Amino acid sequence: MMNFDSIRLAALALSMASSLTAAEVSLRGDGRLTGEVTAMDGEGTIELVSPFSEKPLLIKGEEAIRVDFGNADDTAFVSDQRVELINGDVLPVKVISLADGLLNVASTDLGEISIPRAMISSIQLGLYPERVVYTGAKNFKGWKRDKGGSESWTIEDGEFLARGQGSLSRDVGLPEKFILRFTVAWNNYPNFQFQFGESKRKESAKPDRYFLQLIGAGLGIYRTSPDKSGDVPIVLMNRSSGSMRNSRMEIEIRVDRSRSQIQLYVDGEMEGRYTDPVQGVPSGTGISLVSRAPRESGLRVGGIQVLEWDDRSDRHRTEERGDGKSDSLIGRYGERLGGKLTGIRRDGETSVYLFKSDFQKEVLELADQEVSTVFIGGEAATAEKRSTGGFTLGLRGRGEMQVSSCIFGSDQVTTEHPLLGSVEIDRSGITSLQRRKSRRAKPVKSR
Amino acid sequence: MRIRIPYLLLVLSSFGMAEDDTAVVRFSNGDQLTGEVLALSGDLLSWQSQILKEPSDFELGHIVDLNMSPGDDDAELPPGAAHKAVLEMYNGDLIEGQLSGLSDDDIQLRTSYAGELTVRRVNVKSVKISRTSDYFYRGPNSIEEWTVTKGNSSWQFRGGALHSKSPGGIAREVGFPDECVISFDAAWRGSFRPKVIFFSDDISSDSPDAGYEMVFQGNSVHVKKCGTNNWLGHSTNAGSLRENEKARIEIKASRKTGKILLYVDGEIIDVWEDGDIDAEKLGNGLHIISQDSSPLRISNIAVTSWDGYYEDVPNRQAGFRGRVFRGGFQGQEEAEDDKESKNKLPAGRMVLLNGDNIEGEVLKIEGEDITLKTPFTEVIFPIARLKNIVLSPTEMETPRRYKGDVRATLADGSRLVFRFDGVDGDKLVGFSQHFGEARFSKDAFRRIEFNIYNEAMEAMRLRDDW
Repeated sequence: MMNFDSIRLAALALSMASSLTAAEVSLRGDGRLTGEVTAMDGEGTIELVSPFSEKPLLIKGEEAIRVDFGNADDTAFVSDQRVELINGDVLPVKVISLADGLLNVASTDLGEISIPRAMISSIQLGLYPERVVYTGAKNFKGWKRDKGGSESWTIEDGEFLARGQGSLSRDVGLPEKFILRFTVAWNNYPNFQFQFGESKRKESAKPDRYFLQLIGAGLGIYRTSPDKSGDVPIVLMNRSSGSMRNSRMEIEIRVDRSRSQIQLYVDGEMEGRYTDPVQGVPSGTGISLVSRAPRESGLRVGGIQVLEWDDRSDRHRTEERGDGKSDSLIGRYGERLGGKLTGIRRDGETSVYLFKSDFQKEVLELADQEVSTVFIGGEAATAEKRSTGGFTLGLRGRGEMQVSSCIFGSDQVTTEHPLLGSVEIDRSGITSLQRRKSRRAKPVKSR
Repeated sequence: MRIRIPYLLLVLSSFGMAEDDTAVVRFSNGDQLTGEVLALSGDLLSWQSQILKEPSDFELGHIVDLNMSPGDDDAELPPGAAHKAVLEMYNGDLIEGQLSGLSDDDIQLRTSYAGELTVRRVNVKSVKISRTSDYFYRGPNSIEEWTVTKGNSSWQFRGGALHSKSPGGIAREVGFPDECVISFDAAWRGSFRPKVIFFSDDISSDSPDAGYEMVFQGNSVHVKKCGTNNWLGHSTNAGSLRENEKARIEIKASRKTGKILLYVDGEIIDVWEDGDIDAEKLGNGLHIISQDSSPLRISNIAVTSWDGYYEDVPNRQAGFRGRVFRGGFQGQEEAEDDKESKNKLPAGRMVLLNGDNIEGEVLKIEGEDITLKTPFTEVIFPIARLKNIVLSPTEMETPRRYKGDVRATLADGSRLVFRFDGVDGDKLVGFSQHFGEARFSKDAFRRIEFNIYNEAMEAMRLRDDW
């Protein structure tokens, strides 16, 4: 295991590299500026080095809606553990110990922090970063367009835009288990297919593939197979395009080809788990976008992400907190224990979780590999979430933190956190900064 | 001769004092920033923005364009001008002004933005004439001058245009003359489906009790009396609205005769008539209503007076060879060449406002009058009666490109390329192959495009701001 000094050294190198990545500042009134954010003072004034101006630009804090630092896809040094605070903040950190009512955690970006137990909502373990296989659309490089596609598909503002019928395809190297994410938007009525995993058998002209189809009447996932006549429906959602919010959908499809399993999420909500009824699975590694709509439909497909899917961390999305009064420990295989987490101690390379179950006299000692989630019970655990902070900071490793103030120095960001007080964060660990409209933070009382 | 002005700096004081940022600068990497021009030199744009704590200088080499909102003091034609001439140049430039002279070599044009220009005839492709008219409204200038109906906020004012991305309406009072022209530029994504209401008696509602509503749906246009189920009719002649994603819309309406006409990109689409007009009930409200969430942009709105004259609607049925049957046509469509030959004006003939045409040679222009030598006699009549002027053929010059060329769009619609030589006081100095050196009023500019021969910036230049 890497010690934290070596991790810091590596992080420093990463920080230097990331400083070359342009930050994008979204401004009030649809404005946008890119460059290197060199500082941000207590009033929120951002100092931005623009390639077009000799002197740094000083952007008023209240005029900057959001800053993206261009390192959101950076998965290096991402912890496999996360701590969620009672205000909804998520800290990607490594848990070191729990003693004297303090949870001691550390990360390359946040350093070492001691968090009062009462401020913790949950501890999540066994998380694995999703390996990015493809993200787009940036340009047409690597994409093939059929005749219709050449005429109808263009790229605007990082989205594929179809003004007519045609297809776009590319080999993205789909692994055996993968996640497809994209947004699709339209003006009037959608008529669109997202095909994936297509392969062809020598003896048949008919392809073997999955496809998601979105039409005015609804959405479905189908299987085309040389062994079946017609397309076999796997998922059918009767949802008219008029009822779809803002004529836009966020789609996530999770496919486990080893078990013929498919999961569908729409707008962040899970629609269900499904089994492909056709024997065998399409073994291809490509994706295709097929527009079947007339030009006025203005179909837009963006935010395409293809990720390798490790379903070991999936359970964190579905676990229930329970009654919230006492602690709950969820084991690796889904077993649940009620009681109290009395401590965490180091034992060589692993941590040992000490848990006093409601139904056992002895304190259980569980190695961290055996633990999936610990929900910390108590009154504060149900405190109002997301009501505090002047800014929301995105943290590397899919973390998020609300702070009342933050000051950007050359290497460090000094923040004032309503629960944790002053927190120093490595600059390269911050992926985004967003000004919150809600009232300023009020510290939550400690139990 | 190219004039160099020492340390070229233009202080555009009127922009700098604005309460809101009314201009937008766009950069080659897609960045854009609202603000005001403080100064413009040969290499730098000095920019003040409410976004920024202090003014900043940007290198012109990275700037795609500068867009400025129309101000209150829009450039108008010189006082007393009864006509407006548009010179179309061989390089695509459009130069607007009032004709003040014409010789074998030059055309004199009085302009509001650069005084009198002497334009070389060899570069002029055509001269189009139209009558001038008083403006009863010109905008949009802000969202505040419009009433947002139903309390929603689907409409926004950005970059000199009104933008909508969800259903909802806006309206305002306009001092409509009895016979008026309502015109605007529309751009949209998907299909064009807005509703325009005029002569409305209630600008707080999308459904006033009096007025006329024109409903667009793709190539179909319906006209209805507000507050009734009385449809005046519908037309499916607006095919270009289905095929394109932008158009110049012009509605001519009369409270006297009840006539309502629609033009798209200068072509008459149809005429409707309210045979039971009650002018007393009609009001002065103008509404623009978005009916869906397709992006819609409305700009260059103008309300002017109308003389009541209109040309006949082309008989589109006659474009088919064959008999007309109930429910459709039978026969074959007329060949394109035939259509063109019918519309084509015989060489050397000028069209009069009433549709007549006349053959002749321009002898002189004096004041608002033009003298023509026809095959029969010399005639003198107001320039405003003409729709075009025919120039005797000449050999055109080879268009030249200069380092520092910019493309400017002016408030009056002129669009021209000139070499930006700098500034002198409150004038922007430029040189054009068409008219030599000119000094432009700073208020005349709506858009200045820089680095116009840089192909890498072309995609950014063409990008619409949605």
